[in-house]
Amino acid sequence: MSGAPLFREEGVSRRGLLKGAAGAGIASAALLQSWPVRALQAAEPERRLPIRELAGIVPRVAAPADPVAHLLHRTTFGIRPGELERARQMGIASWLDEQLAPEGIDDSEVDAQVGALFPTLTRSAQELLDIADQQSDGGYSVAMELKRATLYRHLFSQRQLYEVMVEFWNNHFSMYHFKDDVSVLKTIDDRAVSRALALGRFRDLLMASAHSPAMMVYLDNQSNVADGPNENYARELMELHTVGVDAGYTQQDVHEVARCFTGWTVDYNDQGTNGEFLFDPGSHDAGPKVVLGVAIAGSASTLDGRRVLEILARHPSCARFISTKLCRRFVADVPPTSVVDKAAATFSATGGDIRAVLRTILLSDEFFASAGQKLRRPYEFHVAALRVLGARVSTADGLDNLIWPLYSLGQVPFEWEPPNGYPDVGAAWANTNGLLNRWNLAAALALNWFDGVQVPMRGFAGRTGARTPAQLVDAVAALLLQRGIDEPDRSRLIDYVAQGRPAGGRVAPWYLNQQAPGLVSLVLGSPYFQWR
Amino acid sequence: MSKLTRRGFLGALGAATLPQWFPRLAFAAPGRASSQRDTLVCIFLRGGADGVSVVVPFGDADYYRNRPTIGIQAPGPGDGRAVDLDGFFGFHPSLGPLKEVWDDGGLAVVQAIGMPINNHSHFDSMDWMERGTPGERRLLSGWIGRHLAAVDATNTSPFRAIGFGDFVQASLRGTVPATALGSIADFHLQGFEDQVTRFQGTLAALYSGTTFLDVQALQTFGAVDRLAAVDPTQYGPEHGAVYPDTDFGNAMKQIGQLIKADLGLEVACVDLGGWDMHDTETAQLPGLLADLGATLHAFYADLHDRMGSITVATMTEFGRRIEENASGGADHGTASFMFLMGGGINGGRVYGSWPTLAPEALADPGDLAVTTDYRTVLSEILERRLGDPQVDQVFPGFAAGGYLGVCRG
Repeated sequence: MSGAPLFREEGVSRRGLLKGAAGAGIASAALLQSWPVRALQAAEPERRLPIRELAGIVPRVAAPADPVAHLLHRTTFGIRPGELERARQMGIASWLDEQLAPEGIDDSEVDAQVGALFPTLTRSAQELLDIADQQSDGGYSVAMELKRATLYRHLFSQRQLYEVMVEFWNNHFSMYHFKDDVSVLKTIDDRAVSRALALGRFRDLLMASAHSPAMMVYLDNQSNVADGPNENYARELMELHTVGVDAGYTQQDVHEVARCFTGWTVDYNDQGTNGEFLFDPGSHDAGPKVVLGVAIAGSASTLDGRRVLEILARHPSCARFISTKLCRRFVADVPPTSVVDKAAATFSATGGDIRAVLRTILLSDEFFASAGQKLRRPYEFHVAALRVLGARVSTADGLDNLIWPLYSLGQVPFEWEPPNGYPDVGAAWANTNGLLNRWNLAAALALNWFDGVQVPMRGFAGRTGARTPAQLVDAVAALLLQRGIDEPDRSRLIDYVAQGRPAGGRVAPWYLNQQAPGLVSLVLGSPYFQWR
Repeated sequence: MSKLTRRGFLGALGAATLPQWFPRLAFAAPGRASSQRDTLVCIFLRGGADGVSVVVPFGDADYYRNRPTIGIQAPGPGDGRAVDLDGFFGFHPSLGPLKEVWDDGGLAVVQAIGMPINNHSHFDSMDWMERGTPGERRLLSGWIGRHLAAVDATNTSPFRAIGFGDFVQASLRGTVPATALGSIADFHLQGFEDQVTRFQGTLAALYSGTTFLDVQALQTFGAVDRLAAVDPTQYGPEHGAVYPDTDFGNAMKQIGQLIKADLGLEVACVDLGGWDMHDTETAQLPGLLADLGATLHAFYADLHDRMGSITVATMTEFGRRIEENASGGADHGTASFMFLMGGGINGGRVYGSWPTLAPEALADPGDLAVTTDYRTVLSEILERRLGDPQVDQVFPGFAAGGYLGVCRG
């Protein structure tokens, strides 16, 4: 990880956010003595985690779901001001149609910015490797540019569902950015696999991923040769990319698949095509194989590997595995079997048409009955907070300053080391470290601590039109949550703002503005904002 | 830990620093009060550590036949050779510092240990191992979580169980909430220090329910509260211990600090990843083992005065294929090794029966066979060091017994 600072170094509190900052814990020690948590704890000496929630945690607040808001919570990185109203006018079906046809959405502003800010995105593998050589940084600067571009698109693209699906596939075909040349080649993979085919056919995605040099470096197929095959890609291809560990394949199948992919490697011949896919017939095992009971005659070409991909993409376990994962993403940590069944049926009937599968899931009764069932992962928390607040950022430095805190939150784009991708269940993320980091990030955002990032907090209360503490709380909840909050919690927030003043009494605008950052932090840090 | 970090660390560790003076430990004889339980530190080596490159069976001729390029040379003159332990096994040379702990009797090895069921999947294997139910996923809790739920309800410290890192390790899952801790220095609320009662009180009140998230929030507030008294900047490891400046080294250092702060710590889990060496093992393994060895060595020295009530155990989901592949690595295998460290360990011995690497002795498809179920060793630790007589509740369906005698007590 880079040693770049997270925030400007001004003031004690800000410095405290620096990772490993000296003396950070001391200041708070004295302050903590009077706060009411000890009393809370004393009241619950026997606190225990509800065991059933170890499988799938459930929200305390099951706010009645507005179906449009629910759809947007799940299919975007956070609802920007104005988007909900627009979607309501369009209606669910039309809004979804629009999002499922991203090529028809005008995103020219974002595209232009992306082109100007992140020039490496369109470069060839050879060019990117050359840049890494010139910089002598192991591809770090190329990798950082992809992270910045990814965050930028998530923040501002109008093609939100498309971006959500690009992220889904990048996490499905997960790789670690800092394994050797993945740092450079992931930029190609992102472009040629995830972005090119996010809403296409699964078979095509799989085929593209299998030919992706970044994947070959990450899962060692680069050095998979007939004389001593390397099983890494073969196993994860079946277990994680297609049919799942319970599909009934054997160790022998893994070995046979590895043999089929011998000779699939990356070009490093210094002929100007370094970093491209290369089939090396000399290291390919052209003998006959049997994969999942299917005989493959064996050929001195990529045909063996391509046959494997066809077999896997058409396998019923693949339809089920991919559908389950999509339902876990969009519906619930433990999705109802009925919706998985429907999604898998669509997958099989359409030859793995992702658009059709998404339509099945997102228009299902199970989907609309699942409000509050998905905890935001840390990255989603961060991006959603920035979106609902209408934050602006347009420089590499500003984006970097938003990326650094993701390290302590545990979810940085393309930095999950094992090949299974970041977990997509709440129980994995709902822990003490995660909550504390979310609360601190919420405060840092509301206090505008990020250099190069503008969170429009100045005159905040005035812009909401609020004149009373109660109005401010309601306006903030509407803006940040797009859902109601329980009355006791509403009262707590009003008490926080009012400090003894009447909840419904008019107070000076400066006072409400002064209270706004704390209130915004509390709402972003509250249980309500942790769900999508 | 990222590879970039690891590379940086490798450079720094070139001149491995050992304490000038390493304590000779003389532990009190067994016979501690029955209520006194060891603090357990459980280290999970994620990715499947290559046990035969870590604790090298240089006395088994089949080892060198299978490992022509990545095998570790038998002890002898010169660098890069195994460090002899008992004339048959030797440490990888990068584990050199641990020889001191070994000689001191504080470190034992179990070889050819693992699970009776193996499908060679990282994720199934880690999951099964941490649940404590190889081959099945019926129980939602982990083996340590069940242990904690069984033994004591009076210790309500938020530091009773901690998991270092972004996630709570699956072995800790259960009804007793564990605290996920990244860094003691960063574990406090920031931003509204001038209105701490009002702000934090409101935040706590918003989490006053009884769901998973509420319990975690309460746990967080409790941990913040108690950690406020622990100042990491003032922490100086004792006995000249020098922890490597790595994620793992820093985690173990902080565990040491928490133990000394007497915050009620019973179990700490920490991960060390990067063991999935399908390729270029000779390039990757030395740095990782140097981190592991130097960190354990530092922890042993630092916690010298308390080592009589600390047990450290390493685990890994599986070992690696005995025959190396053409990439200079080895694919997923079966049995691997376990380190056990502490004052209550009968150290200086390699435990477990060696199945040999003869072709007919290998498990399918060419792996080191398991001769000791990992639950046998954990059960012995639970009974003899952690005061838990109900091992059948921790490992349901497993007939404990046949202990190796690796623990005192």
